[in-house]
Amino acid sequence: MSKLDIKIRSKPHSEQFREVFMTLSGTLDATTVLKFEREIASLIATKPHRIVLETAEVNHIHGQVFEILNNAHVEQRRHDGELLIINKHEVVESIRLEARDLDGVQIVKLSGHLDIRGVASIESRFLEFFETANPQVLVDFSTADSLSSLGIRLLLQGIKNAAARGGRTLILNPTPPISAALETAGLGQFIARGTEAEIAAGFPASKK
Amino acid sequence: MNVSHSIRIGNSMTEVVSVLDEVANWIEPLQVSAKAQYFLSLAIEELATNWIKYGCRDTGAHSMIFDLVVCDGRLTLTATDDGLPFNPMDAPEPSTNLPLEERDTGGLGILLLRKMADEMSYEHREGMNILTLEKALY
Repeated sequence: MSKLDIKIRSKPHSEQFREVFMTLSGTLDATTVLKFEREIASLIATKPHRIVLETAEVNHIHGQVFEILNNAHVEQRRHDGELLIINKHEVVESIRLEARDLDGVQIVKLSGHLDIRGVASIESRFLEFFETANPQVLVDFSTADSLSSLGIRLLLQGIKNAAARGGRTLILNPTPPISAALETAGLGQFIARGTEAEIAAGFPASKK
Repeated sequence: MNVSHSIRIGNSMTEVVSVLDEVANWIEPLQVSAKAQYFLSLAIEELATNWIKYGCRDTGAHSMIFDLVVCDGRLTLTATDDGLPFNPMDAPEPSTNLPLEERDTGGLGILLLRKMADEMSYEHREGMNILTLEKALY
């Protein structure tokens, strides 16, 4: 028996509106994510007006699922459809983004993999911090495990967006391998070392 | 310590994610440095995604093989594929010292590998790209 069970039922409200429920149960891990990707792509190809994805019985969600869901949203919108996800279970993510305000400086902490496993799931939320007026952002890399060119591109995009709005970005305490990658990519000038409070106090927007 | 592992990957981004998890599980018990672990996952991602985006001749099924060997304090990774001939050592380096607004992000992955690998060699033999990277384990 497969580790992932997928049930699909259709609920035709009218000829003009077709709603399809996809209920997942089991494990959405590296061995079953391809099955899920194929099934949801087949479903989208039938152009339902709404897909309702029920995930209450899923006990693990692989990081790649977020990218598949992003793509599914885009594909559904392409034919004016929608994708709803209900009963979201606690998920295991490849990357975690935590943010808070410290005296006018946004502290954005990234933990985990800032690479193909994680970037898609945090991209839009991450970039929002750099799109305010005069953004002051301290990106905490102290618990980031990996950074690929995909993650560097995202980081560079944020830094450029902040600079274009008169803001400033610094990268706090990356591990030595990640620090070396940032230096190689020409982002060494943005690396800051010290405590979060010390570095944040040096930002122009700091209220202290 | 002499350990080896071979992985075949298809031309799909989903498979890249699966392989990264598989490789992380393989190298973790070997207790190598964080630098070597990071290099391995970086190399797999950059080589595989580059091959899928630019190396595959068509949209049909293709495969890339990663052969990993840990021996004498070194990690050797050999990537073999049947894509378009591409020598990463000849690729132009992106300018990383331009002002922010002029900065382009293309070619960063290959640059990272060139700078972080201890040794790098390439050959095109019998229609195959064969790239070998070496990195000290500790």
